[in-house]
Amino acid sequence: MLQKLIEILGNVNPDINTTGITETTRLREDLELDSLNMMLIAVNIEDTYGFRFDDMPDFGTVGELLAYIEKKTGDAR
Amino acid sequence: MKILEKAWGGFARGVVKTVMRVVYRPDVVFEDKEALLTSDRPLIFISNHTSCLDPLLLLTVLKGFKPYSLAAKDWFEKKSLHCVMEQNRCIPVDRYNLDTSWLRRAKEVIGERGSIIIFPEGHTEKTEETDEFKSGFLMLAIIANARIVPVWHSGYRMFRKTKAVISAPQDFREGTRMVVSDLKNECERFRDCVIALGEEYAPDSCAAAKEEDLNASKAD
Repeated sequence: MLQKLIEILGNVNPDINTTGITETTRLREDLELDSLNMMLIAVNIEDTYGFRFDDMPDFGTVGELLAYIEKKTGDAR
Repeated sequence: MKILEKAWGGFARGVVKTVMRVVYRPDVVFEDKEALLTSDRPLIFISNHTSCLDPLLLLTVLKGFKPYSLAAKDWFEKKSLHCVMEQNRCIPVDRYNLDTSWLRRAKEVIGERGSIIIFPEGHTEKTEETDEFKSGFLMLAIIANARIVPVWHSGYRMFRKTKAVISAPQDFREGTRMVVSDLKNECERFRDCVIALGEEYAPDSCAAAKEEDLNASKAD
């Protein structure tokens, strides 16, 4: 699932350096994702995994985002 | 209860439109009304945002299109406004959290030939400058295959004419992808369109305002 998420990040913004992204990578500080980036990532994740970000979550790290996807899809990482 | 809410919403809409017409006297210019009326795709009206009166002005001048509009969720949550906004085709958007629900809802309600009003600056800008546009309107245009209609208005002075210019519908540039760089470039282009409308029509409205001031002072 991490690889898929990295792929989404790279598709949404090719300027993101996707090498070395781990679960502890911080979305805003390390990847410098602003609200537009986050919105596009959310829409892509929704289309990929078929759920909705319906509870206004706030994510600090890649790991938190993965955990949310996991919770929503019921998949094990 | 629903009937009461509906009646209250309709009453409020009527009052607002009457007040807008009397107090702010909209002077509307459609650059190509026929193209808007015959559009076979949804329309997204994007406008400069100078006041909380803007949605009311545009709902008044675009009444024939029955547009939806995006409204900040914090406004929507005010008890006194909630019912009126709900009954007047407002879609709440959370400006501070990751909210994709408005995008899905907006796509659904504008369907194949509906319309929606969006203020891409995301907040009111009191100076003459038009602030940077946020990309939400463009994302919606892409996923709903909508056309974009730049709109400019002159701002408000009580009992003076308010100029509102509705441009012809435009397509987003072919090949625009849902990626950051493409959206930012297109946003800038549409912002320039809105500014250009202002530059084209503002001198007239300023001259008209001055003339009105002159006439008013003569009458005094």
